[in-house]
Amino acid sequence: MKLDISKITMGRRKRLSIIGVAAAVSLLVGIAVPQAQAAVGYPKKPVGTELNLYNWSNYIDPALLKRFTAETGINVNLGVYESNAQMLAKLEAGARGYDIIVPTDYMVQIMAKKGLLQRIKRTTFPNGANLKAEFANPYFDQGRSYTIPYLHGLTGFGYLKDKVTTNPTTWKEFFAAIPSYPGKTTIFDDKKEVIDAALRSMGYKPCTKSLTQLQAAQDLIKSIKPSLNTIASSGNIGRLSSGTSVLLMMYNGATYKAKLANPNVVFVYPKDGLPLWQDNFAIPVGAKNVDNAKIFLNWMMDPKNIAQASNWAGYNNGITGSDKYLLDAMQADTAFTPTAAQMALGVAMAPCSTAVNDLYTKVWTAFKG
Amino acid sequence: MRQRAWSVSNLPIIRPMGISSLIFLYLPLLTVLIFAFNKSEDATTWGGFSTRWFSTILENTDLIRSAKVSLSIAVPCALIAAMIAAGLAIGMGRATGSVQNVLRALVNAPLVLPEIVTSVGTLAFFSQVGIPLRYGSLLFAHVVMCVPFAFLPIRSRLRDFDENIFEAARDLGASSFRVMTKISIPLLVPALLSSGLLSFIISMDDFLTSLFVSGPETTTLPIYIFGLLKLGASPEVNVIAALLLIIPTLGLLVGITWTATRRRSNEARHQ
Repeated sequence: MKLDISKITMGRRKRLSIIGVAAAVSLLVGIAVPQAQAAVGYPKKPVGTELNLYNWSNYIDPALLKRFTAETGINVNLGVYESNAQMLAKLEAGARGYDIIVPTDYMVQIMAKKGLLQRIKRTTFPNGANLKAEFANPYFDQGRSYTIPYLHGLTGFGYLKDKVTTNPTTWKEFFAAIPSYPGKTTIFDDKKEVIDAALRSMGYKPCTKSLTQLQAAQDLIKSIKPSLNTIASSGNIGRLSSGTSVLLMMYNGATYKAKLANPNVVFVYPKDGLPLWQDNFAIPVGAKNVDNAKIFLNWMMDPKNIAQASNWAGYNNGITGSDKYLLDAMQADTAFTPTAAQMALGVAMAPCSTAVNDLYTKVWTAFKG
Repeated sequence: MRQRAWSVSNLPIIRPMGISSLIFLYLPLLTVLIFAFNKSEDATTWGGFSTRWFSTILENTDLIRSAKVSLSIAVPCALIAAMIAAGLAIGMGRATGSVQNVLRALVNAPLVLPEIVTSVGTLAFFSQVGIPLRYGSLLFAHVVMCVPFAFLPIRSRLRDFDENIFEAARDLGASSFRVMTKISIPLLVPALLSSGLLSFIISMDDFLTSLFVSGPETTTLPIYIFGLLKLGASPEVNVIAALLLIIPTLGLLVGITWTATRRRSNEARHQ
């Protein structure tokens, strides 16, 4: 899932310093990152009984892992990281022994460039062809030679239809409606998501270099700031379903969950475009149980298994044929299963250039400070 | 009427300041306790009273496992760190002049170095030498981190010792081993206990070192809780925090009552 630098209580500066220090130390001690091993085909049987998964906490159904163990005889040990950046820092500093990692889209690209991922010969997997067309060729891993898709989601907005009656359908209408609900609105504590949405609402493109456009975005978000009750990326399910916030930036999966608690919840795929984030399974260099990792990847491409993961976590997946195993409530709800037209609004977002990112930081600091 | 001597503690502002400091310190803990009984799916939004999370926590094997890992690191870490710190403190008492200064600087260095530097450095060291990230490596890193903290209470206790006692013991013919077992260690017990407890708490609390040095089988509780921020934490986190709060508090209360009754019965016997 998209869990960006600014989202966690640990400050961004501290996070960056982690990466910096990790990079510096690995330079100092001269760690040579081993070259990715050549891809070999799908294993005939597991080797040993271990598999070390490196993931966020609570991001995969424990019952699903139990079933995996029952069906394959492979035990799964779960290591936990708290952000993509930290996972990268740890692997760069030389941590080995993880067989599967779960990098988000942009991180796949970074790790592949650094030679931290192993190529997988997906076509030799029995389930290797089960990819939905729109997930077969993402910008970060064209042809999917390093990853298979896990869960994905879209960042739009949610509202309570009994409280917000203007029926907003675009980012423009979202920002315009906020001042009407002072103290009852929320946006993410995420530089990129918020500034991108503000730019889109004015018809500009995310990652723009134009200073006037960025200034306009800054003015817009500063103007709505007094109407926000909080700036937060987590806890929004409860905020929306309890009515603490009636209009707020939301992931589609989180909105689906809020809707289960409060039928007045509506999720909007803004017509001016919205970001699509995707998490993926990959095998890092230094994995000890590569064959077991491949068995796991293949197993997770079975529509029934990945559907169970979706049912549990509340986010959709990129495997063909999984839709029919999704919970009925999920299949019936466009917040969870977007229509083709809604899905087409989603854009996989590559990170902005460093120069633009610095401008974003200035806008964000002016907004928050 | 005799006037009482002027003292800061007599200022009228002291009482409200003290009370508000206590509230400030304990309100978050109280909130965690209350939110452990939260009905809602979300750890931070109140959704009514319920004990449901106390039962689901038992099925959350990853959470339970990480709590077990934390305890299985913190307990031996406290024992080992206190022992090493005691040895260091006693040894340093013998050293003199520049040797002592160098030693003191070496022991205190980890206190002023940013933890991130030590933790990433430790990870880089382990991976260079080829030590896998298992239980032993994490315990080692925790002990290293705790020793400087464990050292402080022991050192200050040693400094308060009356040297005459030791001289008297040696005068009476006690060997240095006997002096240590009969005098030094008994006098040090309170300091050893407090440095052990301090190490235990630091190890249980630690995030950064564990984050880098833990392996797939040694996810500690703080790392697990941080990793939950992705999908949002459920009240299970409050439950485990509440349990970690209640169990030691109960233990402490039992301990205090036990020593109090023992002292009372001792006093009764003497009278």
